[in-house]
Amino acid sequence: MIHDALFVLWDCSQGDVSSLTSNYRLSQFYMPMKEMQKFIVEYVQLQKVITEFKILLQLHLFIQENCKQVEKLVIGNKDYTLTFVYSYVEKFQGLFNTINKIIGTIKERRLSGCEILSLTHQNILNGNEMVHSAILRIFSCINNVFINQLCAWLLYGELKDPYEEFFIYRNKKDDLSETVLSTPSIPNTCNKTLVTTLQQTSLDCGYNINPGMIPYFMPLSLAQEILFIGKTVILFGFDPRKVKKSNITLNSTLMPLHKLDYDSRRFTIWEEKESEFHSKLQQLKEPEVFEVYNLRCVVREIKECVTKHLWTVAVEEAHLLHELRLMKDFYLLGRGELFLELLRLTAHMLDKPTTRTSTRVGKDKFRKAKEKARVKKCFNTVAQKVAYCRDEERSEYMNHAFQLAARAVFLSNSADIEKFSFELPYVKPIADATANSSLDDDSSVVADGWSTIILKYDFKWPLHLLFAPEVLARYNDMFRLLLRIKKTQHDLHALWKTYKQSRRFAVCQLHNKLMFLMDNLQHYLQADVLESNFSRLMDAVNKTNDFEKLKEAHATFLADILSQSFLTTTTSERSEGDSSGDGVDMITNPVFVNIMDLLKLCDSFCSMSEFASDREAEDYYIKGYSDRFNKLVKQLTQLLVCLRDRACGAYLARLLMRLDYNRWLSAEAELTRSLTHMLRC
Amino acid sequence: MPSEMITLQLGQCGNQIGFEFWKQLCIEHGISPEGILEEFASAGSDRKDVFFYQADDDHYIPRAVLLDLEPRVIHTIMNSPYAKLYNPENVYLSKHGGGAGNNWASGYAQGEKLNEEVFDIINREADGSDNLEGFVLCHSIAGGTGSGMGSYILEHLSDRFPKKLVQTYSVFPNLDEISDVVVQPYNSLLTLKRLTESADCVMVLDNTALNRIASDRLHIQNPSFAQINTLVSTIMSASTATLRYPSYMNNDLISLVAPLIPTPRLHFLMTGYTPLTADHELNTAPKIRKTTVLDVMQRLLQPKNMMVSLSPDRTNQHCYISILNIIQGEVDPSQVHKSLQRIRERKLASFIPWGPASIQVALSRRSPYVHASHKVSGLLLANHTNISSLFDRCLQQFDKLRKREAFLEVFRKEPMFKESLEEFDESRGVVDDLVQEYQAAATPDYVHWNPGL
Repeated sequence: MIHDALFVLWDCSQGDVSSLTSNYRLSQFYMPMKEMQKFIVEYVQLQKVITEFKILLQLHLFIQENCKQVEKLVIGNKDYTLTFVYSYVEKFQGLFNTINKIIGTIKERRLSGCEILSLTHQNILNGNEMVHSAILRIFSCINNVFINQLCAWLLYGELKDPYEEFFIYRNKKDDLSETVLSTPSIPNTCNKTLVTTLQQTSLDCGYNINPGMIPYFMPLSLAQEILFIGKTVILFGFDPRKVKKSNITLNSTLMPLHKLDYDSRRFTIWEEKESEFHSKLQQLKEPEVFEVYNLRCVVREIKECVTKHLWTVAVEEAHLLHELRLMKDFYLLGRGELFLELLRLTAHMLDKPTTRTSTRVGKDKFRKAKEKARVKKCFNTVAQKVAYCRDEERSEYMNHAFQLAARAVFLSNSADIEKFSFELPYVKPIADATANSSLDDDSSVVADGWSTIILKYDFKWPLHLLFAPEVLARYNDMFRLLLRIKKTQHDLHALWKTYKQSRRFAVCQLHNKLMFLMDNLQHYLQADVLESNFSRLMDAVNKTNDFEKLKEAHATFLADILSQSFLTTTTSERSEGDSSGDGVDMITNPVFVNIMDLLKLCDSFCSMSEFASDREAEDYYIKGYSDRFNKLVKQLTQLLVCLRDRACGAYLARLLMRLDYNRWLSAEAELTRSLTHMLRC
Repeated sequence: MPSEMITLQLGQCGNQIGFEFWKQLCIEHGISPEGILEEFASAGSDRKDVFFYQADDDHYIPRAVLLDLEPRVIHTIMNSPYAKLYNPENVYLSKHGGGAGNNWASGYAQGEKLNEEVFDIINREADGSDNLEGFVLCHSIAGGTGSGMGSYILEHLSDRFPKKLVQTYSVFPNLDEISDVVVQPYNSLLTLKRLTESADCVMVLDNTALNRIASDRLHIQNPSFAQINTLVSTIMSASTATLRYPSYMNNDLISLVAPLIPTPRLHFLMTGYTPLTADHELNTAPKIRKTTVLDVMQRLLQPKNMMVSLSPDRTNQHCYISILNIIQGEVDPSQVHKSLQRIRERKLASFIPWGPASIQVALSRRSPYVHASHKVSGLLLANHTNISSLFDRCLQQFDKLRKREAFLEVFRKEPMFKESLEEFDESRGVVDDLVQEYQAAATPDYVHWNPGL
């Protein structure tokens, strides 16, 4: 130690030789002090002054205080020996070590903001009373800043954090959501993640959690709650009704819109509770009160208030339940009669691929002519013109047809109808790897209207919380599948009268089988999947008045119907191989692939009359179709074995229960005994 | 206005059940007997346009054509509060008003004679609809007008409207009691031939079974016509429920009929309805009874609820070709799957061995304006091979008369039978074939069945 002291003295440029002792102790203090000053300078240069400055200032003050104490002591009595000073100063050893360690860590890891908060908090618990109280002081100082920041975020949704020291940050890019709508689907590896992705995509108004910044004492769930509250508060500020109101008043004054808007919303959310929450948060500045438990309690209370407000705004004012029913009526084809009418009006157009310059005219001529005969006369000329036009015009035509159909079935509420519109985007034909289906491969390569149509939904604020682009994209997946099935079923039904007059059993029988398949598939989807899950959703909605729970229930609902309709992938094995694709992910659920093949088979069967001219040709095709039908059905039943352990297998079993109700399909497919057993029980 | 249906009511019986049907529809859609939409029903999302159309003054008018050769029933209708409901141009009474004398041949001949006038009305009605889906014919097969004139119209409807569906609600005579119409077996058989060949779908309303249900299930000692007709209108309204209310499936007639009828000639459907309550019981038990989907679906499969009297199937060889249940009321949709599974496990219904078959369940709304005595109610539409026993009985009764050559002179008076009675033998052949086809359909060999053999 003496050596140390001498060495330091040597180095020291202090010059006051008379007080060797004081120099010694100064040197002891200077170590951290110098470090600190350097540190401050660095940080100031970096302009990270908000929290750091305070913490360092505090350290500085604290140490200076101690220095003065020692100084006074030493200067007061010059007879103290070096050892006395040393022993006196020794008790600070622990403190300096700790502070040194803290500063070292901060420097080393280049910590900032909440990380420093974490670090100091970690050091509060110390056996040394002095260290404990010292660190506590430092902590409470940083904590002040933290609580202020938290308070501003929780109550007003404000984030003044230019150096990203808070654990919530603002996204720079917010334009990533636009593209989701047009992609057919993303492969979702399992149900659980699907639910979470569907849930998380909503309420994304540009703020996110920076996981590295979350103080270690704060659980992730609490951080998320805090994030949610702030986001929701911000969201209320976007209420279009209020924005409009303030716009009018602002036109003349040209004040920044944000300011006034923010004032108006802050009263509506908190009402008289604002001061209560504020004081509760301020209390947390006291290090004695600052416990995670207390913080959580306050956050919970605030959250409850926010969700209640959200519930009023979303569920009561925006008629969420009504909107949910609309989603079912339109996206999930709950209004069957409306879509039946729409199919009558637009089938000829959707049959065609969505290409910019259409070439496949010949094949559809027959059906087009037939369909057109049914369309209203005034509509006819438009249809003729539009059938082979570009996509924008087609979308326009589609919407026109939709309005007509709605009028035809006397939909009472035209405001509801206007919320929905169609879009037929042009999708670049993709080289399909699975295009080895021998019967018709052209339809699998070229995307027709059925596989590209998008139903758009113009919802009321703030329902984007629920109907995020990702969610709507998934709804559209369902919509396309259901519409496709409905269309195929409709085509098959249209042939019923024709085949009823023919006495050829083979044709009738095949027609029946296909019809049976489509009818039961639709019954399965509509009753077992959609109706059941929807009634569950409604139950859940009626039971709660917490918007978050509602959102979760809705996400679960959507995930369930998707997986039960086989629209999700069952395995993750394929996802790696898919990355080489050109962005459009194929839905790889084997059941879905099988169902799509069956749909294609039905479509070719329906258009048989166009190319099978005589009886012989018809026999030939019937034979081919029958074989393919048997093969596909056998495949479908065999999938049950492969999928038996997965959730998807249970849904398939349900579907097969309907299809194999009189145990005919399983008998016909000549299955193995174990599979037959599985089907029968 | 998609999928419109035009109702043709023929003869005494046809007009009576038609009248009950329209009464029921008016109540369910909140339309007053004068055709004015009641105030409480103005916001309804139901589809009145399938069976009604709106006149210029917003009155709802049934797409119905009322035809009869004698004035009694039509006069009753025209003197009822519902007189103003119908389009008077659609009510046709033959000028002489003498009826068909319960003679099929007379009805048929008069149908032929009046065919221009009748089809003028039908054509006009068809032109008035945008997308006509088909016709519903209400008649009895035993009398003169409904059976004879009905047969003529059936034959020509399919000629004139080859693309339209023709569904009939055909009332079969009560065989338990002695009929005052002695030539009933002749009439029935001749009509059955047309039903087999010209109709797309025949809803068999068997008076024998309806009377039995009224006395056994509803505890009515001597059921009146009106009480029986209430049963009929219940069935008719329930079987059209999916067409008249927004629903996810079965929005048009073809989607109801096509899955039920896999082969062209086997298109005779039986119905069942549960739970049934008579009016006098309604007042004593005003509470809404709890019924579950499974209850309803199981009860619908019991023969005692079937509205067709079938001979007991002792050898257990008969089976269902197809079943469609229309369930109305407060239904937990997840119950449907469970009920289907239970029925399948317990083997409560046996199906054809030659093709896929299942119980399809359509959930439909119920009219909000009608007090429902049960939480859930259900209608069964079934294609069952044992319905051949009903036709077999018709054949036997016919043979009994025919052997004695009884009452043939009334037929010989009409031009169709003046030369020969071949028509009788031909019709007998058709119905006999039908019986055999139904029996064959219960076996796996039906795939190779050939009507010629």
